[in-house]
Amino acid sequence: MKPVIELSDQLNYLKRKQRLLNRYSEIVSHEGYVLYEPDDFETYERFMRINERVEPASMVKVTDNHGDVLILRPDVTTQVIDRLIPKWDGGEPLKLYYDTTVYKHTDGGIAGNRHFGVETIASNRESSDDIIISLATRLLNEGTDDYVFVLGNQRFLNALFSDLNLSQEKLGRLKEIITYKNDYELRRFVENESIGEPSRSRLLKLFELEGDLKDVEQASQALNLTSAMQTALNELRRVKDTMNGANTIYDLSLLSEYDYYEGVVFRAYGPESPRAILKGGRYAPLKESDASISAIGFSIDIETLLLGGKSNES
Amino acid sequence: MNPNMLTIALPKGRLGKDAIKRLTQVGIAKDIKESSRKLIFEDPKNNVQIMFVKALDVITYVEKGVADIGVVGRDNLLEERPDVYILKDLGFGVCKFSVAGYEGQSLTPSGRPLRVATKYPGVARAYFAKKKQPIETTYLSGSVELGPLVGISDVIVDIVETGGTLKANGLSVLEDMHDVSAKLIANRAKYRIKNAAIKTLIAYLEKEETL
Repeated sequence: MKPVIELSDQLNYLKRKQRLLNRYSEIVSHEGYVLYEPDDFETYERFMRINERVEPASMVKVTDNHGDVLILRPDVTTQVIDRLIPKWDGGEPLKLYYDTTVYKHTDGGIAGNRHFGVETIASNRESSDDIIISLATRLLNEGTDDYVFVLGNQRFLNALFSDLNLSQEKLGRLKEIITYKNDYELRRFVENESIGEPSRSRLLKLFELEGDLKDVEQASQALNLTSAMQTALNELRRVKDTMNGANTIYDLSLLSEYDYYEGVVFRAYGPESPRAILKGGRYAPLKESDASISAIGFSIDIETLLLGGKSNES
Repeated sequence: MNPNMLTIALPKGRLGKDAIKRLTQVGIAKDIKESSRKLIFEDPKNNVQIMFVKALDVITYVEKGVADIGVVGRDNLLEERPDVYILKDLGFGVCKFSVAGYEGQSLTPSGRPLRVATKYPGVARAYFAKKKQPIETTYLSGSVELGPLVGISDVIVDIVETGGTLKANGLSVLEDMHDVSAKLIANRAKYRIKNAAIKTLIAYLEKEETL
């Protein structure tokens, strides 16, 4: 019987993947990034304390011989926040890269996805935003000809949320609504919580704050933005110059399931990929760490990226 | 499938018929017959293709990016919690998620979990977990009303439109849980890649709503 996938096709795919990963390692090593090898397991309780909104059912749990519940790493950034940032002395930027597999439960069982990512821990947020986003587009360009880069700023949403004075539970519900871009539920939420102006208009217009940066700026003009929201928009304006002509959409409602993000956030999508090929953003260290430390990074989902690929590749 | 067209997954059955009605009102998919055995239709004039699939499969096709957008009931979204965008309430397929059983049935039996028969175990578990009420669910794929009648459950959790089937079987609504209606969903990546086409369709639908 003829195999569903020919061995030669399988080998070609593996070669293509290896070529891309080698090229990525070469580029980031040349830029001074050091290979970080994350632990395979994390403590479930600790991970959930850092990432309250991550769906617990999506995590692959195991128990150790003391009966403690561990999870197969669902991401790498949490380990960087938890284990590396507290040790950083605040001197030279800490520049790391990883090439590893992250795990989660899906309908089809346990899925392991190969992720290549970089993390920079530094104190100068503006310059490292530029450098990391520029590196992200450079790596994407190595792997694909066609993608849309989406940029948002978690600072904008955090400023919007802080004016609402919601309980943790209600804030969690609002974040869930925004994650789904669920305009209908957002309207109901605003009505039920009797949210007054100007927060009401900001929330009701939130999903319109996407498109070209000029469109976003124009749509936001009528919303009486606070200085923190303006700062968030300014950060996006600054980043715009580093986009190297990439097809970019700005979306101020872009919200990650991970709560550690606190600045510029971004995604990239390809025409043949059902989910993001790249995710990243600026994140804050843990509450007990030094607040002046800020970090930024991204990860590329290699298998998702390879669903598309470069047109000139054999 | 033509990757350059906007691909819409519609559920077979009444929700699909209502969806086709809404689309034809805005000039899309005018020649499509939901009753046909054909599963994929093209509307080249509007650069749209439509695929008819089972209601639950709409979520799968959209989440996997085979379809760019789809129409699905909120009941299935609450149960499956897919990683998609929920862009618009379409205003049809309106009903409620309810707990139903014999009149006077307690929802907090003492000393044991409440026994719930349902097609939606995830929705039932999430609802009663919020109320701190332990439950034991039995999955039934249809005729859920039979649960209390044959004694395998105390109550059922199901979508209720008129309550006619409940009444015919001596049951009634004990508690309303959630509003349900048809939603327009989109694959997260396709929403970005085919943003202009998706937004144009939504604008057509909203314009028609205001007429």
